[in-house]
Amino acid sequence: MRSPSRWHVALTVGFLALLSVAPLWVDASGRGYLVTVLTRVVIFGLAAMSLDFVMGYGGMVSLGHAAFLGAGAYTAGALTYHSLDGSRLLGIPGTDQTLVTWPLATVVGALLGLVIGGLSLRTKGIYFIMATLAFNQMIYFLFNALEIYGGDDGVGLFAARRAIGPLDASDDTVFFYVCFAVLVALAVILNLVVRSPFGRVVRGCRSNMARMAALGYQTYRYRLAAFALSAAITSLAGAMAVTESQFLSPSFAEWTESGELLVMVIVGGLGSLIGGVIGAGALFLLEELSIDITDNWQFFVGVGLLAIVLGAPRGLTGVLLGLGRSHD
Amino acid sequence: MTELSCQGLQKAFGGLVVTDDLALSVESGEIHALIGPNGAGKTTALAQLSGELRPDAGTVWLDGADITDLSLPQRVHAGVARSYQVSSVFRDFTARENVELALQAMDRHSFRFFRPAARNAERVERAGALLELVGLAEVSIVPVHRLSHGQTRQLEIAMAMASDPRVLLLDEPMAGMAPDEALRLAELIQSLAAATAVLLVEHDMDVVFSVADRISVLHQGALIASGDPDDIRADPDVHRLYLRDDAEG
Amino acid sequence: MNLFIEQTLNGLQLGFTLLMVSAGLTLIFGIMNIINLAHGSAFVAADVGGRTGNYLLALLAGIAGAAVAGLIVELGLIRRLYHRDHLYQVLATFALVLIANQAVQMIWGSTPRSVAAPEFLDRTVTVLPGLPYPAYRLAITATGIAVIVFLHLLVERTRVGMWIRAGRTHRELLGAFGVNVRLLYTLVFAVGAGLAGLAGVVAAPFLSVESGIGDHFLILSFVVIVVGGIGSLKGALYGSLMLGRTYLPDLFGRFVDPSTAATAGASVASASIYLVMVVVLVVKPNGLFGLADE
Repeated sequence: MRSPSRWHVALTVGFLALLSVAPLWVDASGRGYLVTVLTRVVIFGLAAMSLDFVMGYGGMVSLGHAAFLGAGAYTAGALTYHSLDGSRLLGIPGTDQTLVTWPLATVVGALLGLVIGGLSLRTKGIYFIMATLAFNQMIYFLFNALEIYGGDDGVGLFAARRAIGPLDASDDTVFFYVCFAVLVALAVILNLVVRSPFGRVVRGCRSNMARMAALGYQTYRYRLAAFALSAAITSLAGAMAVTESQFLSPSFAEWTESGELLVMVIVGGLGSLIGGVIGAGALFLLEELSIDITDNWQFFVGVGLLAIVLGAPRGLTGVLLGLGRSHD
Repeated sequence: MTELSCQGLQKAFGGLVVTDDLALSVESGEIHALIGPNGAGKTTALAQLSGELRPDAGTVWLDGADITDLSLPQRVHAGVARSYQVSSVFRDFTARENVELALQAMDRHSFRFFRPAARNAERVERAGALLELVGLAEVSIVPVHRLSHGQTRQLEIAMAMASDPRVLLLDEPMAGMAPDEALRLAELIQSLAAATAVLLVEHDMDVVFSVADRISVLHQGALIASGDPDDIRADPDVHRLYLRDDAEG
Repeated sequence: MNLFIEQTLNGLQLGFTLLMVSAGLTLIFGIMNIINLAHGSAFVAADVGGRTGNYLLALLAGIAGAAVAGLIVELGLIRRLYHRDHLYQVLATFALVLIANQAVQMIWGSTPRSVAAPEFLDRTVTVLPGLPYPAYRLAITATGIAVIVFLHLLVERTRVGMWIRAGRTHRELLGAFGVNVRLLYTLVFAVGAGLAGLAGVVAAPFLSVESGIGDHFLILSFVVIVVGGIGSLKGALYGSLMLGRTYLPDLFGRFVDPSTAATAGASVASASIYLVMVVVLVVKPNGLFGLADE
């Protein structure tokens, strides 16, 4: 296994450092509204990073991660909704306290990940991709059926606070730094995990599953644990996303969202963790730049994606690390 | 003492019988070779002993305990290890990381999430010792894809030995090796017999007759002869089988 | 009783529409071991073609258009992806989905439209006393049966079919038999796309045509294939019919009668087909008619 290169660590730290000062820069340049875009880069970058963990290190190509994004959004969103109108959810009162809703969303994501992963991992290859996609669609339809939260139209939560402990993070810049702190913490944790004994087993399963079994590993358990961990983090990102947008709708769980997370990972660079965040940054930047010029920016995302698949399969990180190597 | 044995082993794919009422035993301290022409069912037999394939009928015992229902990973923990025909080590890992991964499989579990795997000093040391044993100490930090074919075969054996097995199943360890490399590997296998019983599937007859304590001959899934090398050499059935095989081939 | 029969007929018709999409897809998966998310986009392309006025002309144009699109995609893109990881196949074909959906919106706008059935089928027939039934829907079922019979004969009785069957289990041997593997793949891909095109045109009169509609059918086809088993026509047939019957309330709820669309019941019904999939995954992870191992 490639050991983490100096360049890789430098790239991770460098990009996160850049991201940490980005709000100051957009503020100074008079485009303060872009802070919310940066927050979305952080949130969806977190989801893409956790997808990269199962895909780039675990070799499990999931086309169903939007299900977990949706699960987190609906856990946090539903609690917030009930706190707004004072009703109860399954007998418990709602809350807009993210110190409650976010961890709860993480737990829900882990459990859903155990169920979906537990079933999907009975299959492999193309089957696995199709199974995760199908489960994604199932979750999507379930959310569509939740009339109480507006069915397929969704429901606004605009009156809700963004309460983080005693702190009211309704200010966009404050909220950005809250999300950014979560991202940094999980980036550190995931980077530790991929180098841990557990991470080695997961990477070994990607490389040669039959051989891992012959060494005495119960591969299913480790892959399932990795999948559930990723699902939990993606679900947390979903909760953060709904707190950010203050609008709960099934579109979080749409299958194309799964595809877009995949795109972020590949654009950024598979198997690098930070690549997911870089990819999210590139995608949102492209959207922001092109939205004034054309409504059809997805068309160009498609074209660009084809170019990357055929021309630069290691993504932006690969390109950046390649540049780094040539100076080595 | 009998380490690994089987009785009445039966396996068919569709209508094709590949293992036919097979009975075998591997005694401690011995190298038992399993030979036979191509398609005789040697690898399939090995796969049923290791737990990769479930037999249609029959029983497998390890040290007197019925292990027929144990899965491949469970049998590894019980003491059956195997190497593969096709070198199947992890090509991006270094030689030492490969062995470390094999050693780590013997921990009760690997749900350890934070401490870097590379910092387990005891394991690093044991990996070094195993590499030393198979003669790969010098290339321990070389990524496997840069090793020679012979070296990857040696590494396979180091990984199989990591579980400290009672029985080692070797599937054609010499395949594709240069004669001098094969000779060194044969010596290595002989030296292993002190620590573990060996069941060896091998095509190279020179190697088989020089290292094996006992030889069993498989033909169309069934055992047609079993005995020490001299018996086998003198056995008319075996002669006919190999002569006919040569005539056809 | 009549309602039950009517529902069953509807189920058959939906099932056979689904079959037209999934039969081609399962052959592509089975022989080429490649995942194609853009399969549903062929559906859209044909669907759009179906709005040209003359229905029969549109039918031919739809099939041919989709098949040619399939041909171009295979030659220009898919061919480069055979030896790549499934992940890159997913991405490249996802890119095609983005491009196709957006192109449809750019050219035809995002308002859903409806398409009329051909005049000579735009009436009802009495299938049982007291049970009138739209002739067009019966025609779809008939078309579906014709397609599965055609494919069955193709796979079981012809030389090309023999290669397809051999390719399912021993892909690497095809070249050794002197088969022009590239041509075979291109052909299978184009036929699969053509079938998706056919499905698009025949489904157009009872669905509203809009960008992204094909994706919906695509994912249903994935469920069909997971349930039926990769590469198995029989699996695609049983899977489609099973799902057609289970899935019914949703599709008609969603597309035929927008006023009752997305009612809770309909959405739950559509989620229920995935329960079928869950059961199959638990009992037979390789699908009902899948090979034991890839």
